[in-house]
Amino acid sequence: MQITARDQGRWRIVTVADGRIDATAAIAFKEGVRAVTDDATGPVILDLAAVEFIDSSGLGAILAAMKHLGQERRMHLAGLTPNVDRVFRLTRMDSVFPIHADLAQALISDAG
Amino acid sequence: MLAERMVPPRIVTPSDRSAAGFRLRFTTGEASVRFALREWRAWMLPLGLPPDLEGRAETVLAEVLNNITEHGHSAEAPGWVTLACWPVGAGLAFEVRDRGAPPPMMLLTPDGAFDPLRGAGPGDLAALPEGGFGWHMIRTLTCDLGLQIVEGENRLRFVVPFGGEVLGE
Repeated sequence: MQITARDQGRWRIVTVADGRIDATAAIAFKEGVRAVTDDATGPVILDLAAVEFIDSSGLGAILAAMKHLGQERRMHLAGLTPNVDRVFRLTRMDSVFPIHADLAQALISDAG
Repeated sequence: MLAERMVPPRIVTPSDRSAAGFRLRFTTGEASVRFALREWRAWMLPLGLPPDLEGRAETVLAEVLNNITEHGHSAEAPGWVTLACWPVGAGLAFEVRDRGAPPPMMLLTPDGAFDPLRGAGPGDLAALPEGGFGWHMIRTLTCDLGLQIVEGENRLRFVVPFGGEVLGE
């Protein structure tokens, strides 16, 4: 599970390079995001532009990562590919996260 | 993990471009679902189906196979799974057979009470669930979902339709 992070302004940008966040990868994903966001002080953008597929385990892991950040560090999502977007829509989790078309859109949005 | 790829005879008729079906038999275990999905995709992609149908079908199949391998079996008690898929007029039909613990029948019917937000308000993070989404997606994305249990063998059948998501879930 390839996860990298960098800071830009108030944002911590977390980029997932893996194409699938599924049952096999969910734990590694959760641990990876936690490792790169533990010391984040502000909002986080999870850039999923490279992710072609998530299943319910992957969705659960993304939710867990968001909960771990807590109220003060809002998790935004960027770059949802069609299959990933469908999972968020079907489960109504698209109303729980701020979702942006791509990283650029996320960066110019209101933080938090 | 063991697997046999069984290639059915290809039936070619003048107007039927995708008469051949897919059949795979594999044992549950780590990475077995990824393996099965990869094999299925390799058969499915050349059919030239609408990408939306492909995506919905893969989502359903992944949830079904995850349930079988994670809830129906264990590392100590693996088992064989048979996956069949074939095109039908309405979309893609599937039959998945296994001999593990069957899912509760109530999961196959719309309960009308699936509410993942469960009244959680904005910022009410603790109230958000982290699970239970799989069967909701299976029900929402399929037609003719049914489970038969025949002499200890679970046979789950469903169709992923061309038309899209099933409304009213």
